[in-house]
Amino acid sequence: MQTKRLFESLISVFTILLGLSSCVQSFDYDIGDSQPQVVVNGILVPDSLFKVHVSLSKILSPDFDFEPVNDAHVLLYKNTHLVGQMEMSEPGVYIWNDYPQPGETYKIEVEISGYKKLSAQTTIPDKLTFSLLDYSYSGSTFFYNFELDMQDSQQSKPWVSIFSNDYKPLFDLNDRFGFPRPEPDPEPYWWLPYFDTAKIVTRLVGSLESTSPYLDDFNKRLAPFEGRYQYDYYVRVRPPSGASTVAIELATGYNRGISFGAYEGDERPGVYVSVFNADENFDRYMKAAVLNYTFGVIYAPNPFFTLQPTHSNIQNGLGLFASYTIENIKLDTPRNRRE
Amino acid sequence: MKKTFFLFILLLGLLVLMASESLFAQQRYTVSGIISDVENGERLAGATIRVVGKNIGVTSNSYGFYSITVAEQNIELHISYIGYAPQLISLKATHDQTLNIELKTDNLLEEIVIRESPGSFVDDIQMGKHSINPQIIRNTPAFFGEPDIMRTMQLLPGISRGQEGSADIFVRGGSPDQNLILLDGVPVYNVNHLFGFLSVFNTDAIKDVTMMKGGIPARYGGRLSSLMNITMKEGNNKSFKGTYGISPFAAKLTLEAPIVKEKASFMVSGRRSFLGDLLAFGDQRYSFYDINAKVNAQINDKNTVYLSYYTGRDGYINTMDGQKYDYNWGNNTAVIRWNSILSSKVFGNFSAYFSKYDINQVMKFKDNEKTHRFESGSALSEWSLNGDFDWQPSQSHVFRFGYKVAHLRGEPEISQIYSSEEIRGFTPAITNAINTEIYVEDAFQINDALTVKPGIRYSMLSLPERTYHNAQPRFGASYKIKEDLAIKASYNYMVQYLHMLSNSTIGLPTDMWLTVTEDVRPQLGWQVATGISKSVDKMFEVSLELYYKEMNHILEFRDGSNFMFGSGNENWQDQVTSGSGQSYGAEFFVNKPTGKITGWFGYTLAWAFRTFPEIDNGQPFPFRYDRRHDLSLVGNYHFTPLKSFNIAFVYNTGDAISLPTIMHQGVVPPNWSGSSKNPNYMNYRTFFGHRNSHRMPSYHRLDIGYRTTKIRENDTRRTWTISVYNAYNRLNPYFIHEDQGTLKQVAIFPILPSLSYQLEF
Repeated sequence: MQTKRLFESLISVFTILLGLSSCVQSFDYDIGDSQPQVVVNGILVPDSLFKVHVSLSKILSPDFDFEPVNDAHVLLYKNTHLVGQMEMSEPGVYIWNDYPQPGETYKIEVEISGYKKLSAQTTIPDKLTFSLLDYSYSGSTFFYNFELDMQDSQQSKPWVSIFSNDYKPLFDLNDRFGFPRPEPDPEPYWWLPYFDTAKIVTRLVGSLESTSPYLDDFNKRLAPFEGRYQYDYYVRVRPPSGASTVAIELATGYNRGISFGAYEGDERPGVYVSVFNADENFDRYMKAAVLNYTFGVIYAPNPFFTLQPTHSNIQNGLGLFASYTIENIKLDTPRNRRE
Repeated sequence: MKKTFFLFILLLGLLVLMASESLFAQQRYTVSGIISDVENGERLAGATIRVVGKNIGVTSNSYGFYSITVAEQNIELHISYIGYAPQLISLKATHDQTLNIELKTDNLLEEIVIRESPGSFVDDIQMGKHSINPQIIRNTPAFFGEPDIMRTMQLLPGISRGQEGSADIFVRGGSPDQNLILLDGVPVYNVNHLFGFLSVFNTDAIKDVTMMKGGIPARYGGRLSSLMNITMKEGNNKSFKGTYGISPFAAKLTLEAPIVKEKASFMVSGRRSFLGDLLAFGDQRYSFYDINAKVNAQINDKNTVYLSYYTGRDGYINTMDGQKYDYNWGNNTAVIRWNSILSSKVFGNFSAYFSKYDINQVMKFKDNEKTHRFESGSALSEWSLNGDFDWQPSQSHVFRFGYKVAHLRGEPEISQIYSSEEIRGFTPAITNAINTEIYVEDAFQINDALTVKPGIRYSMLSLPERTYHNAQPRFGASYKIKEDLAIKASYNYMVQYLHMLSNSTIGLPTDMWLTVTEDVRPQLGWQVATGISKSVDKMFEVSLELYYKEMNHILEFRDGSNFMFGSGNENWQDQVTSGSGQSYGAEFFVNKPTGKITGWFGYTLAWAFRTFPEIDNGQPFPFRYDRRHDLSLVGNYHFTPLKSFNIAFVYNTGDAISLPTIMHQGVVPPNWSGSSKNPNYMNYRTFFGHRNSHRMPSYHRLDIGYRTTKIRENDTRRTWTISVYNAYNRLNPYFIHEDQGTLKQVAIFPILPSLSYQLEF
């Protein structure tokens, strides 16, 4: 919160200084033209079939549809042995009817007429054992204590997030600015003033706080709230030196009430803690994505931050061929904050 | 390196021997003294003293001292200085004698002869040198009515500005931290007020400024790229004088007066912004101030003591929501200096100084009746003892030698969190280092045409577990082909024991100054330059310089980490990566220092690259301010000595930037389901290509100004200055950002007229 405040302050002072000249102007920037490149995205997860998306890149535009590549030959290898040619199940999507196995190395080769052969490989990380030891809450802040077991701690790249899978936003702060409310019109919740517009429509709980010493610095900030550090969206756990288990304490200092009070009907929302163990490539991708989102989108336009390049491991192309294993823990939470 | 060191020692020994031999060749006498301004007693650095009819001449040193040795008994001395009426003095040299000289400014003469010169003279062996006085700064169109030394510097060839509006300078492809900026001999680390829109140097307190972009003499060290030597006014020792000024940003007051007439005086100058007071937004307030003060006392004819002090601070306070948030940063410098004329040939300058730059954040709030206080800060401080000597054993030699012993203390970021129940936080390793340096150099006039200046600086930085040693050879040479034409060459090897980690491209106070450590090595750099200088009809000074520079062990944040957003890192050394830099180019400069029309034209053709093994797969990439073409034109038309019209035009190639010009299908992380800010954000990715592989549009701008002064009967002067920044309203890009699949360019400085007022009494 501290550096967030600093950041917001700098932005506000800067904006007012610029406002003195009344001259902040935006206009389209001509970026010319370029040849499309082949983009291969395949994220392997042991609980899902092999699936690879092949498409073409394009010049930056507000249109987010990408042209699929339907004539690609996608070969799947397991530990250098050819498994087979993946089949197209829908435009640009190629599947293999089997599941990736932890500890195995998979490679794909993609051949498309008129382009160089593309290739990439990933080794599926092991699943980590993640346990909720206890939780408590004070006021509207929840505290959780977990234990993460990392058998091969130096190779693991665990990420933690808290999310609510059933959460359906009944309304958000935008309602107050003219967006239509869903019917029936819900009565106001007492926690409305605490809403953070940026977070309410995402299922992620958002910023988390912790004093655990094994959390990565990359998106860490100093937060005065109970002397904890603050993280945005995802918390990356740093493998401890010489230890196989990590004790993690998390607190939801922000967005109190969002995950625990806003749901529709009588069905209780499921609030989960998710831990996923990423391979090297997915880990690098995540770091850039989280930083860019936090400081390049939430605070845009932002002269204080330089966007980080998105990691790609596709030889002769763009995209990401990576893997992770994931485990979710359902949290036992109060039914409703009004109770 | 050892071999080079011994070669230079040997060379210097030979030069001393030659100097001594010439001493005994015939009977010679030395005339020495101080050159000062007749109106206020200010000592004049860089004044030229020549023996008429002989090719013998010297210039006064930084403290106005000169020493000239002559053989003949009857001589005529011609004394000249920029902006002053020259003097001719006849004397009989029968013994060593002291001759103090007072010069009178010439801008009040009936004939309009304005002398302004930021350029190099043909006679000066020093390459890449520009001398600026306050008159030049004030005659450059001002930004928001505030004349600023750094902005004037940015108009010279080889010196670039950073982001538009920023006071930072980038010299010959170097970074801002590689500029040694001395205020009365004391390093100043942070030069920015108000996000860099203003520099911390108050023009009213400045006497003169010298910039060296290359060929840096051995007496200066500690930075790779340039030296900027700013001298504060000493204070009028003849009468009480004052100046009051007001601009849209700030108000300032300068007072100077004798304490003991012609023996001791003081100067104090203060500047404070009132912008934050007028535009206090909600419970937020932003302000800055700076204070310059100087006292000097002439103890006797040979000894003078100075005491200089500078403090400047920016502060931002926010008291919203029951919280108090205080963020402030600034510099403090203090120096006590003793000048002593040890003999007619030896001048000594002894000083002890302190300099500190610090950033502080304090936040207080209550939560559930518990009081929390968060404090964090970063600081760099230096205590230093120095001795510098000028020795002129003969007419053909001027030796300069000296020492420096300094204690450096780097405190990267210290954070403490206090609550009612506990105190927690961290203190990263504080670095304490002892920096010892010695140097010697000789300006050796071999014959009427050829002058060389070899020198060497030896530095040692002692850390608890490691010591760095560096010998830094320097060399300069000038060959006068004709009276008005000279070719020059220089070489300098530089070492820098400090790094600055910058979080943005603008003058943010979050820049973190750090000392080297056992693991983070010193920056090393060398530069070679050659050039030609010509005086045309005594009206124009023309120069062309070529340079090549390399820099090693420069630091950058690794991809994905920086101080501002990754605060809380126990070890900053894990967040940085080391690389190298390379730059080369040509600078063309035409200066017209005299007449009704004065000004200069500068053009730089340059290349600048950086290479980091961990960035962009180790491929060299253009430095952000790699500007192929950089052009500036500054012109002043003096209707009378009291009325002038000024223009400044700049043009440069757009900055090198990384742009996301290509987009492709993205990968959605687990549990992510979009956001109201940009719901498509994870569904697509942007591709940057190589770092800094795109260019912003070219930058150009025209500033104009009109300055008029009226002198009242009571000898007060009232000056009004009207300036128009960006007169034709060019929307130069400040930054470019991606927004939902499109690139937006933000321009923030349109046409900006301003009015300022100054009263001198």
